[in-house]
Amino acid sequence: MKFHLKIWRQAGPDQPGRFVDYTVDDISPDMSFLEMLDQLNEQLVKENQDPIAFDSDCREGICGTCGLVINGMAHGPKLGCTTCELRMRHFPDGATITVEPFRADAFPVIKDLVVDRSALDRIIAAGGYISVNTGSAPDANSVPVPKHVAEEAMDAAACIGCGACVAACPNASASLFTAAKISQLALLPQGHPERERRVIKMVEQMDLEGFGACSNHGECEAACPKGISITNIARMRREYVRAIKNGAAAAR
Amino acid sequence: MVSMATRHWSSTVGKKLIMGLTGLLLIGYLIIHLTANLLVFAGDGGRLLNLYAHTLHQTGPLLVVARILLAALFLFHIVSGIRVTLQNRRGRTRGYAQYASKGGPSKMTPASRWMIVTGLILMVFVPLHVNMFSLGPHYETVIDGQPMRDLYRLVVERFKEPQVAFSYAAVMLFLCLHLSHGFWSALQSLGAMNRRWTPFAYTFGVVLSILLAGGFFILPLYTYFFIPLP
Amino acid sequence: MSANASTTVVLDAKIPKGPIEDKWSNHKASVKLVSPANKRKYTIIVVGTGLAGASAAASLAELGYNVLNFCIQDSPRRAHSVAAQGGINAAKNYQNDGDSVYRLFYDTIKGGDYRAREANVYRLAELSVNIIDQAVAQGVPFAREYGGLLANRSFGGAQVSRTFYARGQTGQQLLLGAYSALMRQVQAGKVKLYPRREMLDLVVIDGRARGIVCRNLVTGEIEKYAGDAVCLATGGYSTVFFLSTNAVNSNATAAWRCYKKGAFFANPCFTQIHPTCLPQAGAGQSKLTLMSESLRNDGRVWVPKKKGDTRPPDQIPESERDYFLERRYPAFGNLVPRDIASRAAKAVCDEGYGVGATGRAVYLDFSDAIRRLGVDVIRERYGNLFQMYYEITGEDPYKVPMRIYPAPHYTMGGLWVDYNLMTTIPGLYALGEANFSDHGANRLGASALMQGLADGYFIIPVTIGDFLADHRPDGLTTDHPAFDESVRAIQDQVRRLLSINGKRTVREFHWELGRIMWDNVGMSRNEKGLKQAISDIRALREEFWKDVKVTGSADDFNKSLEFAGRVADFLELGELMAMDALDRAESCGGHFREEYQTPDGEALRRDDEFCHVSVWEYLGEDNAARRHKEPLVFEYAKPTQRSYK
Repeated sequence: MKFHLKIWRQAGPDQPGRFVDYTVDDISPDMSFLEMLDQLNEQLVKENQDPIAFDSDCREGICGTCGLVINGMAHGPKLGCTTCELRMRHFPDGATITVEPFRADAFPVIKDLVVDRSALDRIIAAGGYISVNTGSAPDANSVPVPKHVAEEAMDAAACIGCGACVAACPNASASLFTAAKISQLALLPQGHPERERRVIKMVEQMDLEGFGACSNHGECEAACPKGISITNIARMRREYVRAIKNGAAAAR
Repeated sequence: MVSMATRHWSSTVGKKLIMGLTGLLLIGYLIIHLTANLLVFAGDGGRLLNLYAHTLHQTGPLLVVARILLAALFLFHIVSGIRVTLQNRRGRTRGYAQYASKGGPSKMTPASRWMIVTGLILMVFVPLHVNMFSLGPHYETVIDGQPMRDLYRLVVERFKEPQVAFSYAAVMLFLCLHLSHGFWSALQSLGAMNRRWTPFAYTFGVVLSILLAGGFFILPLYTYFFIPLP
Repeated sequence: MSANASTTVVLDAKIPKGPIEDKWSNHKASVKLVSPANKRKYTIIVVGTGLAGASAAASLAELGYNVLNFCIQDSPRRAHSVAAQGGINAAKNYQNDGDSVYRLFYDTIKGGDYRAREANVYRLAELSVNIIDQAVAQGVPFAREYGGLLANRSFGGAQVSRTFYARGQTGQQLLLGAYSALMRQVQAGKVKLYPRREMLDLVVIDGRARGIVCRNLVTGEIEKYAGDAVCLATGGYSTVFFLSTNAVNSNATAAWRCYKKGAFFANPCFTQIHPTCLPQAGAGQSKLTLMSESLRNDGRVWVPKKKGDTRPPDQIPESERDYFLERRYPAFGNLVPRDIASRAAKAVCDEGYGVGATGRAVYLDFSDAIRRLGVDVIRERYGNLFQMYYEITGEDPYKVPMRIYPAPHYTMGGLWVDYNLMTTIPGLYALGEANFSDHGANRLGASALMQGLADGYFIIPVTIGDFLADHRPDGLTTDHPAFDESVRAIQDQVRRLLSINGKRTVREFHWELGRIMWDNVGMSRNEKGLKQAISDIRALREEFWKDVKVTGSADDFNKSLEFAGRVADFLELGELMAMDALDRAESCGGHFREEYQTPDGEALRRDDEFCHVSVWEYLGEDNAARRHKEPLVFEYAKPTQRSYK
């Protein structure tokens, strides 16, 4: 297969960027999108050009490192899949494909298609945990958790932290990311003691990072490679109301 | 304590709670407002409509309080809406060259994308609307021996003016868009949604917006075409 | 090439005295302690944020130590532990099926083909139960039964159900648990996080590990960090094969540079080839995808009985299928350990029974399980794996059997450590896959997560205190000349790589090395192939330093430069792996020497000569590494010929 690529090139965070056109040939339909870029980079290196910088690691859709906006869609046109899992068979031969980095002011560009998503780590650091020191845990079966609750918590916990929700959201909101963690820990009994504090702190951090608000477009759920539901955002808001209701003392 | 509470309400989640709460209450008001307006269709020369308006005015201070509350709801909704939109703009100052929806479970529609536009149109429309009717000319009539304001006459007179009737109807299309995303969105913003209810609430919201805006849409046009001047 | 017997040493693993079940408790009771007020005066460097690194960094910070934590990824949550699918073993015996700490210990020793250290493995089995408690308390959403209690599944090499799991994402969930504990300490200011840093050297001062030097992968700056101890949790080296189930950034550089600074490397040839991976497809492929071993719980492995049978699988009647694992190993069937399953698959393909376009694949068939349990149960258990398979191959495993083939997956070898997880360099510890200690010659499924977390949560916080108590903080800073020396050496290497400007890309060299390794140091090995591999790797290494092409600059985000450094190290490590494989003239676990097999083709161990850990010492670029030994003594699990029949 042959493709024409319009790829965003940007030398550094403060440099102006622009689209550069490339053509790749002899692409197998079973290749992943990133393998296609690998091939292009091999070509560029041989031509003494700087290869295109993009992030990727596990290449099986679980580490959340990769993430490109392909033809205007985070992780490309396929539902429930990361950029590294996306195969070239989903594009017509000879197509022109536009590739951009995840764009959000909270995700500054580092180089070309690589962005800095450390804002997401800081949201977790603000409260996305259960405060339990190593060694102090009771027996694992001492608190039964209904199967459906565990399953729902797992649905939320499946988040890979790739930031596609932010990239796809018209407001660059990190609500789905934040809500998924809040939801997981609000569902499980282990997470209850600090639930008020958690939701207040995490939302506060999310706002500090400069993400937009959630307008309930639901585009995040569509872009999420793990199909995490915006129901979790509703649960985050319930948790938030609960935190306000139970008073600032609990939230401090 | 107070500053903590204001801080919570001014977070992105807090602002959306305000948007949702005020939005839902405004929808509730619209339902009452439309029900009353449908009295225009009663074919009784405005008797029921005028009686309704009269009864309302009899409540005196209560009405004043209600109006102030309503105005406050409206203002809160607008201010939050504008603040949220400005914050959202700051979320992505450099946009995409190409942007597309992936479809699937997405609820992104022109309605959801244009909430601020449709909202601003309504923001301009409502004061004009209040000015035209509530604060409009005071015609007198007597029903059942009681003197009262002839609101019916004012309504019919205004809607006999084509520019008024058609611009009203047009604005109602924007209202329809605003509510079609707004109803479900308000419930979602208030955290009232779960996986089971979301599809139902979403569909219900669309139907409700068509019914509500539809009622307000037909009113001026029906009046213009079919109701004679009293 | 062979070790010079006169200068080799016998390594002391510092195994505590006493009966095996008391060793760890006795040790805990006797190690030296650092008082809480003094802990905050120490700085510990932890490299890596996978299960071992994140759990260690978090637990050490909870104790009060200052921790500097480094990772090559942009976030600690992305370390490759995240990709482990199937589960984590623990001797909880919640299923009442006769499991116990002893049984988990025994299974692990036997699964490792009697090449692991008994005391370490027993401790691992003991700690396994605490890990589950800890993870559940952190909010890890393990699978549960309707009664709300934890569910288990079975895994290869065990006849009990002791594997805890969170769908097919157990590694992810456990890592996120450890990551959340880590981020809590970051917020508390006890851990300073350094993402997008690659450790390129260990700084050794007065014979003791005192710091590291890294490259900032964003700015290209070479940075220096000093500490009172260094914990290496940088994973394994399967990417030496180029195509493996590891992440594309997984590498051996940190461990290798420690080796070159004096840390001994143990059993480098012990690599695990995982049986259930997606077969190779094309030339542009960048990695092989693993399908969790848990699939072998419900999937049946088979090939056609006729050679070169090209009929689609559903048209091959039951009577013409060879369920070769069930046939050869009736007791364990499809759940034999990984090394055995992989070799059996390779054997049938070598004989010409393989399926798929390349003939290098076998079927993994779920139709019986779907008939027995219904499609919903299968979807609940393996839904995400099936989806992953579908996305990659375009085939629906609910309808068509999966095609699988073994792929490099895990390395049991690693830096040699004693019972305290300390390497031969005082103050340098190795945790998780980066060390060698617990899995012998073959790791059982669902044991890697267990080991990483046992090392990080429970072992290092105890054992590091014993060392630090004797080594008070001395105010060492990175101004010490040893740091600058390291920086200069790294800058020289970077400059050299950028100045060669040859014709072949880094990837081409890596690919070529991978081919040599896979063909000669892969699933089965022989003397001739290994000797060939050694000379081929040497030639390739020479060519690399003459003809590699690395573009871009040193002061920038430069992926080619990162990879070049890693491949340069792989070109050395690959040779050591081949040397170790050649030196170990026996077959055991994942190390299968064709010369040493039983009449029916099973691995033939030679306990008389090789019941030891082979520990390699670096003697400089121009000298062959020297092999030392740590003898293995089996007091409890007496070595027998492994049988899964």
